[in-house]
Amino acid sequence: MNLATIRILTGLFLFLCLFFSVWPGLQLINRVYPLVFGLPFVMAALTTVFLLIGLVLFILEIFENRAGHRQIENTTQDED
Amino acid sequence: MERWQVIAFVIAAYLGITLWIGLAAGSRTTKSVQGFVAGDRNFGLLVFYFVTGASMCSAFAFLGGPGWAYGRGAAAFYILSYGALGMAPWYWLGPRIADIGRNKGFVTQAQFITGRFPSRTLSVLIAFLTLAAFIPYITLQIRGAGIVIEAVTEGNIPLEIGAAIAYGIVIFYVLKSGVMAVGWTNTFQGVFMIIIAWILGLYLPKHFYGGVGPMFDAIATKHPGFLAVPGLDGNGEPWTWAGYSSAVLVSLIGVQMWPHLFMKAFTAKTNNIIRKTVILFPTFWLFLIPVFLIGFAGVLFPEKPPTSDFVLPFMIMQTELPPLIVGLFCAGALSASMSTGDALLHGSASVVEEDAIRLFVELNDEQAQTLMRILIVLVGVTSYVLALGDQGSLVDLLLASYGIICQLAPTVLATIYWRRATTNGILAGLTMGTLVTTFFFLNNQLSPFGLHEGILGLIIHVPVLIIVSLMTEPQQEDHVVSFMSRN
Repeated sequence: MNLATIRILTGLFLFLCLFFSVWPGLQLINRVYPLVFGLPFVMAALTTVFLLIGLVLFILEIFENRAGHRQIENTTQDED
Repeated sequence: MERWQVIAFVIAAYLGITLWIGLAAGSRTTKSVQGFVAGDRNFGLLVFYFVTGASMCSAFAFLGGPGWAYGRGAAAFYILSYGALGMAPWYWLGPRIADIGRNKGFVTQAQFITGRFPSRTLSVLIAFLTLAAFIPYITLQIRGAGIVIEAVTEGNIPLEIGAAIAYGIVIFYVLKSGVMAVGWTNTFQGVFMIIIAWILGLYLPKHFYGGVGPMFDAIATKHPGFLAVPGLDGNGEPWTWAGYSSAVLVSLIGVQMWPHLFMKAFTAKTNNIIRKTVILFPTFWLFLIPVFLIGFAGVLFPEKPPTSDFVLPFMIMQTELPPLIVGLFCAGALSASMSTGDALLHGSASVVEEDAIRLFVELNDEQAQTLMRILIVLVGVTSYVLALGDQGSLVDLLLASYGIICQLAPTVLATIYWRRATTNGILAGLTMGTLVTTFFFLNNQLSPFGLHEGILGLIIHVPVLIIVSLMTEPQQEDHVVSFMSRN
């Protein structure tokens, strides 16, 4: 998978996260049961969403580093 | 020694350690304005992570979060949603802003914006908006510190004395060491409050209900609907979906526009540190889970705290834990308040001086630092006086500030990405957005569908920015290219 595709997928994922964080998407996960690790389902789902954001950005960073795109940036200090 | 005296002693020890760290941190920077404001652009990953996390997870999260979970149920979940989503764009924006800041020598948000749109009026307007949003936010932190100390010392140290002691210490180390003190004390306070939040968040449900699951079962049985979004409003009536959703939106748009967080992009040693902080940020935000559990633990408790913001210290006092442990928990809550309060005090003084006063008065480095220290004291004292007055809920105060701060988002985006934007367009958009936000804040009942006033401000702000920019003369191509280049 190339970097452009990963970036588009990341953007789509973030949009999906936003959809499930507000009306109307949030209505789809808005229930108390089943409890997940003791937490209401909606609370556990929103927690999963924000943890996944970190994971997806981490994957993006790996791909970006592999593609070596950082070379175009003016980040001389990045080398240290 | 009485119970409250032991607690007061533990708090005093904690404050002493914080003061020592804050003062020791000052030896790590140069004595220049860049050293005082931007830490010589030398923050590593550890400090940057905690500065970002602890600055965001303030008294509003540690006291207001449980307060909302306790009083408004699932409405509190909006806080869960906006943090990581609001930080995500910073993965791209942060390094870009840091590059431009390094190239041009910017240390504040207004310097960054007026670097592209040169205008004294714009700079002063941003400084004014920053101050208008910061003062209620600092007030909230000071009040939070006072609430904790008053509650756990059983009223022996009243709110006004407790707040004065805690913030006297904050002002002292910020005056002495600038942003380096903010960075290193936030690291200490961040670790401390995360540990305390998890211990307390798991202990209270276990102690009162037998576990987290049984607690939520009991709440769902007794109060059906309390755990379903959008929860309740401030009056205990069902909150509207528009109110909940616009609170999420306004907060996620505004979260990185807070000048004290935005300016930290100029403190990072490298761009990778900014990206890694965004990636790691959800691990910090996870601390909201135990924070909410603390609030939910109070829902079915027969006795009630004086206000919902008091629920955390109230619940601690109900456990009859040894005073040493109570003191440590209290110090965790103080950490949350002080770690944001110091960044805000430092940020507000930096902004007022660099973006307003220095445009009209020429100051050498020494005079600039003296003035900044005077401003820190002035802002601190003003906020302290306001904190003693009658206040609304901590989260309500913060949400009101977000309305103003999120108006900076279109301005920042146009600064970086829209070549056709003009100074007049930026000024007109920002002014109109702020006026609309203020109008609906003062006339809340007129807000359509209960939408947050910040969203209504943005609905006017963005088209005005675009139309006025297109109607006015474009900026010189050379100027735009030179500003946007990363070299």
